[in-house]
Amino acid sequence: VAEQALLDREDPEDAARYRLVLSGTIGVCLLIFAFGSALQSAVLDIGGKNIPVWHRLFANFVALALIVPGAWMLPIRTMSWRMRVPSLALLLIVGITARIGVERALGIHADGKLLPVPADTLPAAVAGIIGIIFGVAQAGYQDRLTQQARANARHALVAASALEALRAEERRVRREVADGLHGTLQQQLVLLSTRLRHTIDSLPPAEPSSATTAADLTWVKDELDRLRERDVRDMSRMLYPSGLDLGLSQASRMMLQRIPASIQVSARIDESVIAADDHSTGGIPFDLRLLATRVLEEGVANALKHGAANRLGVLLRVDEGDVLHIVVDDDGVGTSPSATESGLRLLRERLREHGGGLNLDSGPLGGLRLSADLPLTFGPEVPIGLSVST
Amino acid sequence: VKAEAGSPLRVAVVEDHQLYREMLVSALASQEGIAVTVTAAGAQEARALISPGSIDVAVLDVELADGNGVALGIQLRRKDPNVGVMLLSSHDVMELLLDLPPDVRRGWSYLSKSSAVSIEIVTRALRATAGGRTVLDPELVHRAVPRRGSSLARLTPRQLEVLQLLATGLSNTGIAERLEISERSIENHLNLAYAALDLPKSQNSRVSAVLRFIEETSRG
Repeated sequence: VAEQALLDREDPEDAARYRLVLSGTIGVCLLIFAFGSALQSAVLDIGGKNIPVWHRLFANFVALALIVPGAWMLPIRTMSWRMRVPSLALLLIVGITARIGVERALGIHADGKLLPVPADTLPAAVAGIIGIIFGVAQAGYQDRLTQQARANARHALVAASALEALRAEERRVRREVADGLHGTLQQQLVLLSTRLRHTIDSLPPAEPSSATTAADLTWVKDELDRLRERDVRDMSRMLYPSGLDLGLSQASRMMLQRIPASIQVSARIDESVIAADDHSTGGIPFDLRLLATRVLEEGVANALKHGAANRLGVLLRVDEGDVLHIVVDDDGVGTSPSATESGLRLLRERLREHGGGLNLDSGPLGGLRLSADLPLTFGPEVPIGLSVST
Repeated sequence: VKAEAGSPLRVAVVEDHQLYREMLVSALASQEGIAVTVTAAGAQEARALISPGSIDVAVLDVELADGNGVALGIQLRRKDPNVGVMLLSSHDVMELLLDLPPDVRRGWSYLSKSSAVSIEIVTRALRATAGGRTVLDPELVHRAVPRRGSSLARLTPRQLEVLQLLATGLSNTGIAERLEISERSIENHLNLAYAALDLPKSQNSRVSAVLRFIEETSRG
């Protein structure tokens, strides 16, 4: 951070802006005073000597012509306050001394003596101090604003790439665990089951206790097979739905394909989904794809579990405003929305986090209609192994 | 589409798993009338090595380390409309064939690495694919059950059987031999099946019927 601040201090654009704001603010303040005090003195005819107004103006402008370029040239921005105060004071003294000199030369102050300092020097000095303080404050303020904007932009960038890294990491872990479940664990279970079968086969058939042991072991083996076939596979899919890498429409189709054939399914995956998920332009980001697949899964599972549906209607569509619509209709009877609702709470929250929502209503098939909206944001992320260059 | 009889079928094998690739290449090389002319370990290498007109059919792994077989297949096909594409995957991702752009939909096949597929079946599928047909993994086809209420469920058992064999890459003659009925009645069964499925007239009925088969079945 310190290094970054130092780099910003050396930014030539920032330095130029600082000079401009500082000398500009001082210039405007002094200009107002230069005109104001000259006119005031002339109108009130202070000293009663009928000094022409341009004489006073000229003296003021000489001071202004020294102070403003001085403020421009001095490296005030990079100075510490211990250097800044004396430098600016010196600048002011130079300007005021020059003003007095010019005033004396033009006979505004009759005698040629340097001291005592003329009475109207005090307001001029005060005006100068105010101008300088105002200028430094203004330039510093502008400087801080710029730095702030820059820091914000930097933070946003860091946050965005951190989020991206987090997404990629989540995805990697999900995939690894899913592959582990799908591969290693499944194979271990197959080996165990095979070994159990051999053990059952090798039990001496003559012994009466063998029959009950065999029945017991067979039960264990069947449970193991069921666990492997269903639970492990389901869990693997939950972590990383198959086809997710290939796109939302693929993941959806694969999910729908697994619905038992005895259930009538009319599914429409609109062309707009495939178009939105075009990998050559990055496609739908992984976490949104995962969420959408989860919504679809939940909708189908709910219809089958609670609604005991025989018929499903599924629609996936992306509208002109890049909002993904997922609709699952069922013909389930005896479904109460409240029973289904509780299971959907988490999904609804996750959809809301992304600016979407989820609704449960009575549907056209006689059962419920689950409709979810998910606004799509397209990141630069290109899925691993899916870059399509044409 | 296919090279004339006599000259061998030119095959490209793109697979990032070295052992699998080498085994596949040597198994294919042992087959009569097959010449593996290109082997590549990745999408980029394949794009560099395969020039239009140099191969008849490409065997592509879906999950390549540096890309994806589907995208590669689409590119190869657009450069050379005569190339057949056979996808290989260790997962059941047959649905991939449904989302292919319409201009490249003919002549895509799918075999699963985890199915018990013999080299004879691969060879037969390669020939059919090079001929513009769509061939599906036989094991997956036989496991597939038509979904209730779908157009596929309207077929008679015989029509469905014929369609299943068609989906595994058999020609009408091949189906006739398998079912021990005349080729003429196979044609009849197919025409009735096409009518029952109400296939789009504009496209190749054989390909459309196979795609419909994927769309309207469950493989549990």
